[in-house]
Amino acid sequence: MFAKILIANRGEIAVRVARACKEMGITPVAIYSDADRTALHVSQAYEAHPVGGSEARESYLNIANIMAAARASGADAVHPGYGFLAENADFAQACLDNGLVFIGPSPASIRAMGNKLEARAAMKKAGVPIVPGSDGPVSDPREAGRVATAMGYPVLIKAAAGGGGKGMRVVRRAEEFAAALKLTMGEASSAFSDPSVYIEKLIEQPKHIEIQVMADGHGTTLSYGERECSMQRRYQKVIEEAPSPVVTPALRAALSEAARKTAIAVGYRGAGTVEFIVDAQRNFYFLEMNTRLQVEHPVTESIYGVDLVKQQIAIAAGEKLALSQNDVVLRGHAIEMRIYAEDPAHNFLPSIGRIKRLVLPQGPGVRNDNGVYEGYDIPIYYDPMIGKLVVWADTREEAILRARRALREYRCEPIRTNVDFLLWALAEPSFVDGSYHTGTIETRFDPTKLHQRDDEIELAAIAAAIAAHNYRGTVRYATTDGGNPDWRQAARTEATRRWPA
Amino acid sequence: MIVRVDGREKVLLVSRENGRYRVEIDGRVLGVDCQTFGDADTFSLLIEGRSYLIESAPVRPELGEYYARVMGRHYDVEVLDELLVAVRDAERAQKLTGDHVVRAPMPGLIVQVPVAAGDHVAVGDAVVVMEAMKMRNELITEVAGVVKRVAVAAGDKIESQTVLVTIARD
Repeated sequence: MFAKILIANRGEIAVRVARACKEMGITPVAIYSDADRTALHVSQAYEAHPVGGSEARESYLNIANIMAAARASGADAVHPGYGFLAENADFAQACLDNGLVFIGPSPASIRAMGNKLEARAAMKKAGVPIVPGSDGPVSDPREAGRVATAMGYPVLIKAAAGGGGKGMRVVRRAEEFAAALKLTMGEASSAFSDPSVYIEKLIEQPKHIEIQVMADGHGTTLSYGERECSMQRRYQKVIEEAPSPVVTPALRAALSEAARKTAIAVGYRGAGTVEFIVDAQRNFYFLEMNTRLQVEHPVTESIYGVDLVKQQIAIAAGEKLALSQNDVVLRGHAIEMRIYAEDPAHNFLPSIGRIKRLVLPQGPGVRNDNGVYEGYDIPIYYDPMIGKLVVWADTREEAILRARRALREYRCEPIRTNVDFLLWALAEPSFVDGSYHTGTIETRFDPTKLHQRDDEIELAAIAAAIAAHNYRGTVRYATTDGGNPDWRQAARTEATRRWPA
Repeated sequence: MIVRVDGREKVLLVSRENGRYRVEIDGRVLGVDCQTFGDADTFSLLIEGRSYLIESAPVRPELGEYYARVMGRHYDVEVLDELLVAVRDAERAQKLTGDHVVRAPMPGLIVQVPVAAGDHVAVGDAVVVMEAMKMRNELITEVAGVVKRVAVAAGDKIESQTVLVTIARD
């Protein structure tokens, strides 16, 4: 087993991996950018090394600096987390070249799945169903337009090197195609240094269902069942659950079989996720394989009673899985809610600043994977996700009630978070009955409906009036000896400046 | 005082009475036992035997702006006296008549400015695309009109509240 693992990531996932390391008697080594010296993950590791500037490309995406940190620390393995370099074959190769074990699949497996076009071709060959689409990258707007028209709108433009919902766009009408293509190629170019895109037929009202696989490199490839991730906003998952409310044992077996085939086709080792879209008739199509740990892995851990990070580490160290598929038995229901520092009432604009108060939900069946702390300044350089709230209960109904209860305990002030939005989502009828799909949020969410509870509005009015009463009392008291204009005068000054002469 | 929450207006009177608050809301009188709870902005409220944990604090108190968080939900609240009601109403009236100014809601990088001075824009048109926190955000105009001035260009790094585009209303 390893003595020291460098965690090439930040935020909640770096904290999550460090926890697994500590429990396994392994020294976790953090890396940090200039902006992250006081980030939670640095404090939760036993060693920490700087890797460069605040912009991710100068630090968390800087392979040379991370390799230097690994050498300085004497780590024997690297865990990439998710995002950043987790699906970068050059990074995995650099680890191997520096005598480090990369906790993940081989560079060849990453390459095979990293390019979505190659992945599609490989899956077609392996007999896994795929969505109709352009079988190669397109860049010429006219030719691309012809492909889209032939397929029939709506279509999806996707960055060939993309993932996690980044670099993807729906086009519903031919006249919008050229502009959308340009925008997507621009994003692909800046985000992935590769402007190539491909076009796919859009399956209407699909469900996004993915299978967790774990392969030990000794001939065992397990399926840990599905996660449903259809609650998405702009292709970003916001709520994930396991099991899916629409997956029957027969469908689970079929999806698991397709996922295992996928993993075996690329000689996969470690934890991976095979994503499918499932239509209303429960037909499923291969979407992509993520060759890393997923953000939403805790829901699977909750229902299968497994620690996926520890299994990843053990497999990377050469151990065999001591389980067979029959040992993988699900129990209960789990829901994950991603807590973002963004304001659902104002077009989900990111919210930054200092967290003055942080109270995390507690109680039975509640897990917080968090990347922030009270007093922390949320930096502008990274993803606005501050943590994940995961609940587990015996049944889906209980899990939803528990999720609502836990969200109401969540306090992260004065940062705006999407907790209001998550409460809306958990009450959305199609979520409750399980019929929701990836377009549910876009079509059903109305920000003006976030706050329309008479009782809460009255309580908000009472509390703010008391706060104002106290505030005015304090200010008046403070001005008696200071001679500063009191709040009333301040308001007047403000007013004269604002009023046209 | 006049309290506005979520487009609704209520008339409140607050006074201290025997260590409790007497709150008159739209003519009803409530006895409110309000204790701070761990910090100055968190209140444990007992109202007629019901218990609530609510946070509320000033945001821009000189303009009457407060927030309250109730049952996990965030509310923007305006607590106004007669003067502030006049100020806010005048501000709103001005917003409806003067030039429309699109400002940066957060610090970030200008990726694209799809409009130029002289262009006509419709409600909801994107006037600036900016990148912040790894996301591209399209900033839209809330009014139709003619672009009077574009103050930024692609590649500019900007601070929160920077004026980006000014639009003369139709």
